[in-house]
Amino acid sequence: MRISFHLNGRHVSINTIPERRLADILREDYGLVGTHPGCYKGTCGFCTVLMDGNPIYSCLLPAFAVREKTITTIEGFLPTREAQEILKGFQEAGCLLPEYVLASVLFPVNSLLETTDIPDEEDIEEIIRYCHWGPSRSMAFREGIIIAAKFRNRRKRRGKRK
Amino acid sequence: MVRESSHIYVPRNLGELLAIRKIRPDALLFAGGTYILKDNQEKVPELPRHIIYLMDIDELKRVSRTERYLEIGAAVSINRILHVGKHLLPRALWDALKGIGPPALLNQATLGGNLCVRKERMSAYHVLLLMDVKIELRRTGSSRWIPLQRFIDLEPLIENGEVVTRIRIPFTSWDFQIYRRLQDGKDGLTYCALASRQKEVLSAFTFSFGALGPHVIRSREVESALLGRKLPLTERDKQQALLGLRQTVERSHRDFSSFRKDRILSIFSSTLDMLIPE
Repeated sequence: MRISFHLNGRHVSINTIPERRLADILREDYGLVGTHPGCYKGTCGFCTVLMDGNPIYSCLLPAFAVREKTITTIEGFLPTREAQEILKGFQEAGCLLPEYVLASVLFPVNSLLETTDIPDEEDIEEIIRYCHWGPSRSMAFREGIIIAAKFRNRRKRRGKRK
Repeated sequence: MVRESSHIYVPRNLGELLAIRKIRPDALLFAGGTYILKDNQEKVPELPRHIIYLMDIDELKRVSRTERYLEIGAAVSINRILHVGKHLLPRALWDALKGIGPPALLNQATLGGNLCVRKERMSAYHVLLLMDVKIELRRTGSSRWIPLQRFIDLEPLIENGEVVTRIRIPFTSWDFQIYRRLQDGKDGLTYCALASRQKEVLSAFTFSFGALGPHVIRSREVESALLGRKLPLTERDKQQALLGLRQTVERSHRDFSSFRKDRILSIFSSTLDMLIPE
């Protein structure tokens, strides 16, 4: 089956078995190895990508469901200023994110910061509850989200002033 | 042996869907697909020969409301339902939907999918069952609304060529709502209780427990015995209700561990304690 979709800003087309999981297509056909299908159950979150701007688990998405959709992987998201703000927030909090957890942390945190200016305890707790990376239970991780929110708000305010 | 891959139908509107469904009643209806792929651990999941993909059909992705009810398209994602708002959705339903999983999963999973899984009862099922939810089934040239209970009891689930298109949730003024999800796995339980109180009297009360698999524990006898009781419930009322529930569990769920049975009784007991006048 021929499937066309937008991948990290490019229009791509692939001839593949329709049942194949998106996570495998991204890694094996496009070399986007920042997407890690860790569990194939939608539990670990390491295969998270954005589909039309919303985070989804690419291990639970067959190829036929991607037709004409816009997919952003962690490789496509990292150069954006949204990603850089979040990374800087974690860095300032002293919480260094290893490469394999980037997709499972950056996408949910970005979704949160898009809807909330000041994340409360409950919002942060929800991110932590579903994050399968040990240090996400640390204070530095919580602090990282709060600092990232400050960077995001600062940029939004600057944008409004202009 | 090389496996033949599935044939995918992608209808663009409800008319096309019903036409395809008519000629392919055996096809798998695929919306979010989270349960289907989660349940299928192969690298390339083995799916049925014919699949109808539902997510390109606008009619199935609509949410509308009237003064009396909320109508949700079968292919609306759980996250979108949550965005309808905490103030509008019944509290117990909000908690049940929120507890399904992380936001990324909720962006994919749909309410129709949650109700159509047959092997086990998913999180929203118990809550919707208590809320007297109705399901719209459509096929070419006809449509019917049936209560959720009947939809689940139907054997086969859906008649040839029928598709679940909408879910109607009535706005009933439950002033007491509880939803609990107690660990996943073998001894996991979900619990929902809804009640209405008028002054010092219990005017409506309903509850259900869900356990792994297709088990649903309800006791209409206990529910009706508590109706019209003065609040707070007397010790005698509570003991009778607990005894009634114990008998129901012993009668229909003998295979449950004593831990799980005790847990059911203790959760129910705490609900009875919480039922106090407004």
